[in-house]
Amino acid sequence: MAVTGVTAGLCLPLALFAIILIPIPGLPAASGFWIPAGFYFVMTLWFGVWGALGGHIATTIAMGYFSGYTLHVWLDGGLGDLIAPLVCLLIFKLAKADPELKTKRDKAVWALAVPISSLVCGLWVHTVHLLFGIITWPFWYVGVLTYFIGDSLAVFTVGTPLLKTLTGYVKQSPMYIWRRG
Amino acid sequence: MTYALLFVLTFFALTAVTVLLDFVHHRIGRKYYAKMVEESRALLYVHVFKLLAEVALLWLIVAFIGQMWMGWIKF
Repeated sequence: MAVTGVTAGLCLPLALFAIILIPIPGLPAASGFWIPAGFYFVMTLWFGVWGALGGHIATTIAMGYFSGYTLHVWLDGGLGDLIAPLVCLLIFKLAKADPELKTKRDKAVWALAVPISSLVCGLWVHTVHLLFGIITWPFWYVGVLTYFIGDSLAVFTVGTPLLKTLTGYVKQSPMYIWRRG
Repeated sequence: MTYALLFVLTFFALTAVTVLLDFVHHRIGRKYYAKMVEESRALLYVHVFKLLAEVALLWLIVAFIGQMWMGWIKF
């Protein structure tokens, strides 16, 4: 619970304020460089579901209460932000990779897991939006692509240095989910 | 450059310098910190979450400058 609280506390100001829209040539919409994703992906790889919940709570509060989205958009986006890091964790677990990213294999798993997770999340969010009539079909692929690019970029840029520098310390914690014995 | 912008940028510069000094501090004293962290779990959590908060501060500064460039924040 403490991990969830700290993750939520760290991610909430980032979810409120730390978004940069990057125009992508050829796409009519800009890509959102979603900085909190870097943090909650890392917290999920270290602490499992508790870390993912913290990111989910932060983005749900930020999108809903403060940004004024409708309930449907708000919950859908928040749920997507819960699914994405859990997909990354699942890939790491299946591949038996180490979040400290010391070996080439671990780095390769990270390089694959992040875009896969971002794509799953982008597909979830925009397909639900499409099914509920929030967006129209031509915008579906633009939304998925911009979400995929923005989320992946942010997780790689923000998350990679955090994993490489802090995992060594976090490994000593009993809450680190990869501990053996 | 407006007064408000100068004030904010100065604050950010000082924050960034403080955070970078803390990183250098930990880098230099790494082996001593590693020993202390092994002995005290509370210190481990404070250390990790403090570093995360500092990284979050740096990214907020980047986001602020990015949003000025985007036109969301104007002075």
